[in-house]
Amino acid sequence: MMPLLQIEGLNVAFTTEDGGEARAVRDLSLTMGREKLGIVGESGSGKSLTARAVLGILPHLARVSADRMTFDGIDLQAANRRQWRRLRGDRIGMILQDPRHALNPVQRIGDQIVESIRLGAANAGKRLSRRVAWAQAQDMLLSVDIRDPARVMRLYPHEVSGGMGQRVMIAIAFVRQPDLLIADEITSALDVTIQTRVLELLDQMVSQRDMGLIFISHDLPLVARFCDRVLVMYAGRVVEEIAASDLADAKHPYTQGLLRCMPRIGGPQGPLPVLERDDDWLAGAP
Amino acid sequence: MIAVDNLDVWYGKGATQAHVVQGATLTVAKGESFGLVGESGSGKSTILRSIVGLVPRWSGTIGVAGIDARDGHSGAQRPTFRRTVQMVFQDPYASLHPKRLVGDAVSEPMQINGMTDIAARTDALFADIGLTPAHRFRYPHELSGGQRQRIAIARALALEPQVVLLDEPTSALDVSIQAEILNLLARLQAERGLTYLIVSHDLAVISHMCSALAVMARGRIVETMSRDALARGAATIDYTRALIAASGREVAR
Amino acid sequence: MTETLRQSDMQARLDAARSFARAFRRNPLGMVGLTIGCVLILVAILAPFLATHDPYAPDFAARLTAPGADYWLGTDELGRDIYTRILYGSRITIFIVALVIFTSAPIGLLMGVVSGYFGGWIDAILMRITDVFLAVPKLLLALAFVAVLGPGIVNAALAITLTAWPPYARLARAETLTVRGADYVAAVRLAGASHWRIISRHIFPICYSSTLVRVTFDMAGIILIAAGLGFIGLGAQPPLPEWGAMIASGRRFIFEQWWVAAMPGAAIFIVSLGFNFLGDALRDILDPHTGSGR
Repeated sequence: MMPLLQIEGLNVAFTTEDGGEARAVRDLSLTMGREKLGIVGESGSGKSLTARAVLGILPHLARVSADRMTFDGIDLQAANRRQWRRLRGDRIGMILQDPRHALNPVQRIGDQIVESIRLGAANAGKRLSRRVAWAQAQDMLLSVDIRDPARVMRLYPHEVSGGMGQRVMIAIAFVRQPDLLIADEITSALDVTIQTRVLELLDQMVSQRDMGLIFISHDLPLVARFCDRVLVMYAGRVVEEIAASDLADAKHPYTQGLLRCMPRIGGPQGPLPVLERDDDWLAGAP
Repeated sequence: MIAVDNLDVWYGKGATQAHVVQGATLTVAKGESFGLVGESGSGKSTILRSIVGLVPRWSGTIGVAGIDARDGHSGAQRPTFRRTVQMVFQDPYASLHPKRLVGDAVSEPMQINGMTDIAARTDALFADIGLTPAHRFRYPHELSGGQRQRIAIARALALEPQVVLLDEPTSALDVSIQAEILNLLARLQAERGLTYLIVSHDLAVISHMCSALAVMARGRIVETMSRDALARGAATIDYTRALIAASGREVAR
Repeated sequence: MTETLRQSDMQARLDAARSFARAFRRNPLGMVGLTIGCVLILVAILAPFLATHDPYAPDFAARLTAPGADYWLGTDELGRDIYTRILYGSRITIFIVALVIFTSAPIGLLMGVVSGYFGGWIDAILMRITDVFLAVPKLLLALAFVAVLGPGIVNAALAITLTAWPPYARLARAETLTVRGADYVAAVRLAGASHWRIISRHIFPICYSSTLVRVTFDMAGIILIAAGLGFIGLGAQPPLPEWGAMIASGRRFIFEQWWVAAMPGAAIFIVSLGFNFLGDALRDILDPHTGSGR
């Protein structure tokens, strides 16, 4: 079976202020099907840039190269503008960390969802009346646990809480029924109790629709609980690829270090183990 | 060392007034670490800000090391009060002046309070927080998040306070850096006999650092318990249990 | 992140200046603007050496001569060399611009920062005063002021100052409002810093970059207003070679002896364009809101 997304030898680099080169993603390869793939790493590990490379939305100063980058058989590097328009939103969706930045601040939430639905229909060659789209939007908000969709749809993005905004973002991402969804740190700004609920919803939606999900987070235990498979990134490189259920047996010292350095409820109170970074990890050696 | 009794805090006035802290009471013994846990908007940071006098309207009593905060904020006790209690802010990216050298951030409190040997003391503080004296001549944007938080800690320690209030000291940092900062805070506490009042949304951090904690929700302290009670799972309130469940860190085996 | 170890404040400031210079060099229009600005200053300093004639002595034999080998940019109705007069005029331009900037920017900055920092009734009073000045048309206010004090360069500059400071106050107040609640301000307050110390050492530096950008853009406007006042006879008085006044005197010959008005006009145009380029470049580099910096 053809993998949903296949990347081989992806490199992303920037030119630094003093003219040097900063390699933000190094020789990254990944193959995924319709599964929940977690990408974990600390800030600056290149996880978000990887996602942006898949969507072709890197900042234009970035230099990207890859031996191969295909989505459902489509060569992403060769895709033209029209193909990209179809891909983004219709087939690959993205949810960002802060809904307040990702939503248009001067447009009502309902209008934004409706616009997205109608755009999707138009891309598929159908015309959809505003009324029908409005009804669909309401259903979608209901399915992300928003109990009074009619009211929420009349609100502006700044009038909803972080958790609500994030659910709206999930709804918008799902109305187009993409095959692959990329979620970038979508729960890190949320309180833990709301975080759990948002993840449950995301899980439900993804498994019901048999989609692929790339879940990017800095929170290793969270990713392990939520995803099927985890890629651990360090300084632009994938240092470990492991089934989420095997995470406790992680081989790479970086993964082990990340797990150990977290405090636990009821854990010992002495100094926490500190992660000793090793230059060998940059070379890709375990 | 810290005694907060029946504290009420309001923000805004008129129709938009919000009663953000309601009847909060807590005490922290000398040399102890006390945790305040809760979700965003629960009022936990506001308690810290009212202790140091960054909140305009509050009622109740606050005492730190025997000084009534009302005298400490505006009265004759001001100089003593600020040498008694200092604060470390949440976001090390926002708590350092973007255009000033970090060494100045640390030495300025000493200048203001007329301390002597400032250069030597600054160097010593930099060494104590795990940086070198040469770091003094950096701008904040030339340092990593962890390094900036170390600077913020050094700044809080510049006046040699007995009490340090920590507002989400590690929430903006990666977990590996969090471990380093928590270790640093624990070491400084042991060496200097500091009393900590730590605010965090992360129960695990509080459990690691503190001997007792209070759980806040919607401006009220809903539960106060010891670290051991937390570890035993002796939380009595559903809200606390939900928090504990949600902050589960164990990786499935 | 620079890994070189600095040993002093001086080095830190030098490094910051170097990185600013690097960013500036990557902005070609900014370099053009900077060059124009530098040339203007050099010309003002070296005017006696660059000049080919006397800027004031009339030479009726040569009146209204077209540009040529003797008079590179032609002569005016009194036979004075326009090229020489433009050179000397740059001194007047710089004098007016500097006088206006060094009075209006500090006044506006102080008003705005005090207003934003203290808030409450202080803010209300200072901002209403600012509003009053903003509500009166700029040129009208300047005209009225000059009419009262009498024409002249200094009075013209003061009149322009009167109209130029309110935007700085607005700008500084807005910047102050965004940072007065910042944690780094709270931290120095906890250390016991006085209001004046917080304002002068912590809030002023935040306002510097946006003020500098605004100043640069304003320079172009000031040159134009100064020329305008000179043109209607309320600024520099004859025989001073002020560019606006030179245009005014050339007005009568605009069709036959176009160079009399066109040459100083071109000087005004080039210089104000240069300051606009410079302002654009500074804004791109310094202003975090536009986001194209880093």
